[in-house]
Amino acid sequence: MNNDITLRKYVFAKIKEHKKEALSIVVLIAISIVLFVGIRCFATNHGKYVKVYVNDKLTKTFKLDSDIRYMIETKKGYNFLIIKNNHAKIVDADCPNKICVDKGYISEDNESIICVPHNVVVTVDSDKEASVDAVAD
Amino acid sequence: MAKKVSLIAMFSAFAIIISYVESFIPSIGIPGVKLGLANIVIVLAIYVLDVRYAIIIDIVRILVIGFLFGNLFSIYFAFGGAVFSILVMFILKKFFDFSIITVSIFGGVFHNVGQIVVAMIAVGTYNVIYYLPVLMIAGIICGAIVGILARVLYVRTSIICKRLGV
Repeated sequence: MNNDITLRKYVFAKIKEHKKEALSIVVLIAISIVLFVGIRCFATNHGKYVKVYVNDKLTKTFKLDSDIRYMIETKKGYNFLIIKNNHAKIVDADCPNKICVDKGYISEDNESIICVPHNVVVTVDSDKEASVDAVAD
Repeated sequence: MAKKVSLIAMFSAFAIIISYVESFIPSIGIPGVKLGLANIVIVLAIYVLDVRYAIIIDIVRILVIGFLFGNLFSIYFAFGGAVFSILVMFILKKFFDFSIITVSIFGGVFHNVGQIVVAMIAVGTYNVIYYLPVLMIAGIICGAIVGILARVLYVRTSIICKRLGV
């Protein structure tokens, strides 16, 4: 018997026959993906504190939930830190590459902005005490 | 009447055994995610018998499994899921005339949605909604598996049940 319907044609024909159903399933999957992405963005936990380490020593602790403009001054230069809208960002610095400025904002636990030439680390933490990273010896 | 009772009894026994065997499969990390293989019987009952049978079979299955192996909360959650699930499946079958696999997929999704609703009411917090997307995706996958298996059974038993004149 010369049966020349391929598997692909068969599947497409079946889907065409049940158009409404296939559409409803696609919509269902789409909704769950949208919910997945949406709730994930919503539910990320902001950290609590912003900690400034200069030369591996904790010099300043701010609450992430505040409105702060702080100039970090080191012997090697400055980094201008702004905390706003539960975000922390270095907006200006006099280091040669300005990688810390390009990094943008941080808001979640253990995220950090690092300025290597100035040996400055700005990090988000939920722990009030200085973290292990700060102890250099 | 005796015919109805014995049909319900057979389907319920089937569902209970499936539930029992399924309880031996280790569960994945996320709470509330299980295969729900017993729904094969429920979906089958909706197609091969009537919705009313399916409701009764589900009630019997939930109560027996709940009292034997679970606790009050598991009965709560199971009923919550079943209410949403059977309602949606009934609407889809009666007014939209969808096929078994599609109906089962929706049933699986809304079963989990119903459980989240029960969780929100019982525990009193909205945080459970974070589980919703994952449970929806799990519901789609498990619903598809259940649907395929239910279809296998449907193809073989629908004629018999029609002849029984249900």
